[in-house]
Amino acid sequence: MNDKIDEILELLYITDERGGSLAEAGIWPEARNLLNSMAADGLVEIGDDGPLAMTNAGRARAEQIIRLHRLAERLLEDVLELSPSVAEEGACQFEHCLSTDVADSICTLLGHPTTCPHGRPIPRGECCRREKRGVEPVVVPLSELESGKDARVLYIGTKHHDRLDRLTSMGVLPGAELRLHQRRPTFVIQLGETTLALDQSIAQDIFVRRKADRAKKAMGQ
Amino acid sequence: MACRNQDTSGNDTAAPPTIALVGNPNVGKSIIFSLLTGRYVVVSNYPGTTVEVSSGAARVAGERVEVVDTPGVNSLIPRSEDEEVARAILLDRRPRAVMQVLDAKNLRRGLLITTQLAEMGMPALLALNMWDEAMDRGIDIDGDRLARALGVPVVKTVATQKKGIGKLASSVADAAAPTVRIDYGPAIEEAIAKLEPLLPELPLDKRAMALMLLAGDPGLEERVESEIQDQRAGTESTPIAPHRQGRGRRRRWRGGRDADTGREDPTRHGPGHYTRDAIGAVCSELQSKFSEPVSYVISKKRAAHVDGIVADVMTMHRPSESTRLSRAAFFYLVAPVLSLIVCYLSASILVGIMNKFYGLGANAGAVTWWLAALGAVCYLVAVFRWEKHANSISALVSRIVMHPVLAFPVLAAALWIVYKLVGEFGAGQCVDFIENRIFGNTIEPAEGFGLVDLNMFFPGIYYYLAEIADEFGLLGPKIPFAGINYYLAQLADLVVSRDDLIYQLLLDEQAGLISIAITYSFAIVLPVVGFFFFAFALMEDSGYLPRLAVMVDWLFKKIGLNGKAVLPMVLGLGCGAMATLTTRILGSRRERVIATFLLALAIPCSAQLGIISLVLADIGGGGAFAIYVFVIISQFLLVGYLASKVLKGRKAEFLLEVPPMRMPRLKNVVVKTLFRITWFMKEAVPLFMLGTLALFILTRVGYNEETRPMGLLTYVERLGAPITTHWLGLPDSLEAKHDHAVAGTESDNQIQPQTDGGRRSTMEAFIMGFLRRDYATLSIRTNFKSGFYSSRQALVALVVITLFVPCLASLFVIVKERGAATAAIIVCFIVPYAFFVGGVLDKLLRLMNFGS
Ligand SMILES: Nc1nc2c(ncn2[C@@H]2O[C@H](COP(=O)(O)OP(=O)(O)OP(=O)(O)O)[C@@H](O)[C@H]2O)c(=O)[nH]1
Ligand SMILES: [Mg+2]
Ligand SMILES: [Zn+2]
Ligand SMILES: [Zn+2]
Repeated sequence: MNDKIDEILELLYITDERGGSLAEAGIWPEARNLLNSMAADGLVEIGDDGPLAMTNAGRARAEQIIRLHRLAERLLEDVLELSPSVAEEGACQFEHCLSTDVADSICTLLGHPTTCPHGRPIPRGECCRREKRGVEPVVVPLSELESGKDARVLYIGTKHHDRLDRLTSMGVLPGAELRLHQRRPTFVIQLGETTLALDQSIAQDIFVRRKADRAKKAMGQ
Repeated sequence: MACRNQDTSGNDTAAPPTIALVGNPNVGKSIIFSLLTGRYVVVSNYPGTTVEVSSGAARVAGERVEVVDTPGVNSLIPRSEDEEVARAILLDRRPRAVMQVLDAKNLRRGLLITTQLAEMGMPALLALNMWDEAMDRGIDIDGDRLARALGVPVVKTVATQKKGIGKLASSVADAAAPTVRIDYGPAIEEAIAKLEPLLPELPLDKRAMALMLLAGDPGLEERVESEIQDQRAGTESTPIAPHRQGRGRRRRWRGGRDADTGREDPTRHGPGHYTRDAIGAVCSELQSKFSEPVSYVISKKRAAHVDGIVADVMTMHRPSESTRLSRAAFFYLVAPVLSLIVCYLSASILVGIMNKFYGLGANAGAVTWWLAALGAVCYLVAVFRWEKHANSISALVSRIVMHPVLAFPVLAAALWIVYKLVGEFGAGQCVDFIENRIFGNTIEPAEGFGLVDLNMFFPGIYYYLAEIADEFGLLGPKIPFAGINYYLAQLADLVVSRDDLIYQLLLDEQAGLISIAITYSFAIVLPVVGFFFFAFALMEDSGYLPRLAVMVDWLFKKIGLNGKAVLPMVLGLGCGAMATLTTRILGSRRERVIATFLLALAIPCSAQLGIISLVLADIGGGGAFAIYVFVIISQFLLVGYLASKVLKGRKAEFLLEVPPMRMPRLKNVVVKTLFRITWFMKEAVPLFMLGTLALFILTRVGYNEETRPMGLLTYVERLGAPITTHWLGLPDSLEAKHDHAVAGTESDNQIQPQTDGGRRSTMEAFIMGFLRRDYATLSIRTNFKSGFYSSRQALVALVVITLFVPCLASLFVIVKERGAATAAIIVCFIVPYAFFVGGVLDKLLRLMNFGS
């Protein structure tokens, strides 16, 4: 029952996001009963021929579900490197069983991503608002690491074969520890005794995990 | 950047066995090559120094062998042209042993290549080079343990101090294929097993070949393909075709080599296509099992294996005591002094410019010092802030010269020093001294030497010495020396008359082989080029050059290149031919073409630049200099920008390994400078002679006082007149010839005595331009000095000749590297374009009332 309500809210949210009217969601009249009970709970407003709008409460709940779904997509696709179709399936299950707290820690781990792999916005959570007050994400693309910081390479997100090969042969591989010396005019990193200068566009593809002690220090501030 | 290389691929049976030097870039392969063979090849502190193969004979372990130096590679699956060259050696030459040079402080990266050598079944031995630097950084490697783990000899070497080289040579006898076998997991192993029976016989282990094909290796795909076809066609297995010619045909097996494509090319023909299809099918089937490119999966497995070995043999210590001492000396002594010098230099440049506009007057000195002090404080703050992070002094210096702000004063100071050394000292004083006092001319005796000449080397010393010298009566009499040309002329007078053809051929004031060609080569070109190569070698060996690449990357992006292209461009200031060869280090064909094009168009070589600066100095005022520099740089950027728009291709991405900053070794700097000077002179002098001879013949044949005052050249002048006189606004040499007798020499510059009948040709410069641009510039200088060209005309001519066709030597390299078609397009664009720009400049200068 609850899952059904969630799915409908999700559908309404996406329809709304795309800029369509809620009537276009195509759930009227099949889901009439469900919508009526949702209206009774104060989640949607309905008219004679379909849903009119989501209430604030309904929107908040929808945002939460969407957020879970899209964070899960990010996690499964970027970190666990599952193929998009597998990730999508997993995400659909995740969205119903994750708590808000777990979502926030995933969000933090991923560096408060703003979009899902399909490029749609991820609604902000409590953790993202806190982040503005100085808590740093643990996993970031190299391009978002501050200069002078140490980090470990987690994965390389590029699909360019050549680029990948050149990076790996120079020692940029998962597990490699690096320090970012500077971000301008180009990125300069040091891995062991190798110093590499690289473009912003390459740095975006290298996802790193901050070194724990430094991340903690940053949180303490 | 080795300049003269013989490609000794002709393998006859009596040929001595080959020892190949391979390894990561910038680990010291070339320096070890020189030590083993006694043959110098260029050694510099940046990756991509060597782009061609050079070989030399050596005696190792009591046997005569041929040692081959190769370009640095990061992987034995090549990703750029220079890497391809290196791999081809391994495949084509079947070396008796591969001497892999590793950077001891970067063991991990070196071993990644060792594992590949192991798979290829190459007998190898390892040189753990740069052992000194590893120790300084507290890195210790257990050589014996490593030798046991790999089953190959391991020798610790310090090539710069010649340590361990003897042992390295004697270990060649023990070289063996490394005993590393990596399990790549069931999916990949299964694919390897499927591929192995399909592969043709190549001088390469089947497993290695299979792995390379699975990882995607266009070069090898082509070889295998042609091999299969040869076998099917029943022909003998011929030596493998040069594979570079087929670069355009890459990616044919699997559509694209990217993870997302497994498509097959529908247009396959030829006898071997069943096998080829089968190989392609195995590759794409394997790829479909992974969401990541197979090559990445393979690399990760390899790296994990290597990490295991590294963890076993490498230990980290604290840096040694002596290092800490030199650290202290650096931080409290060297750093403050250096930063003050750098800041003072750049502050005085800044104040000098400000003075032009605002007139700081008496305050200028104080302002300079304040700025300098302020800057020095900034540096010291940065130095001490980074102190604890930087694990060596070189790392700290390295950060400063790449810093987005702090790097600029260093750059300004470096340019200032180069300018003082090459521009003022080399092209100014030395040229003046050698040209006027040593060579002199055939007509008037030169001044001779005196105490005053010391001033050139020790500015100000004359001031102090003069009094003492006067005391002892040394000031007055000079050592008389009338100049080589003068003496030669006197000598010649004893034998022939000055009207004799032989005399004129050798010692003619306008076109003599000795009095012009030889004199110019050694009096002007030699000092300019020499000092440039010296300054350049310092920049190279310190490691500053690649850091320049970091600083200007953004600018080069605008013209379709990236920071890496700084290396060939700066090299182009030395010699265009060398530089064109070095474009091999660039990542894509598009970049290589753009870089070649710009090198041909807008990068004058140092000899030419030196002469240009002489003329600009004679024109006087900073104005001419500023206009020249502005025009050339703006053309460089404009044409580069347009070329990047016209040439399609993926955006150039910047990924450069930055070598550590090192103290240049004086010996290498000097040897390298001499090596390059010799090379340059060998290239230039014959062409100078040839050009002079050609002019001599042109002006003499068909000479007729009235109708052909310049011999055959008259026709060329008439032909070129519409462009030179009407469009470029240069004077008409034929008319001038007539006026000359009337006008006399009153306007002439006194430096070069003007004899009647002096050749004043406009077209000469452009004809010579096809041979060498520096020679052409000399002709402009002569024309300007004799008063034939006005300042405006000289400036226009200089710009045209700078943009004009690349010299003959570069042209050959362009044809060889980029193909005749590209070379033809480049020349066909450049020639009209150079004239176009010159004409526009002429009109603008007239509007500005320049030089009147
Ligand atoms: N301190 C130290 N420096 C070294 C040693 N061996 C080489 N170098 C320096 O390393 C730099 C590179 O040397 P090269 O011989 O040009 O290296 P390469 O491997 O031929 O480089 P590429 O041709 O670019 O691949 C030079 O500046 C050398 O002076 C060493 O044992 N110790
Ligand atoms: Mg080399
Ligand atoms: Zn999505
Ligand atoms: Zn968040």
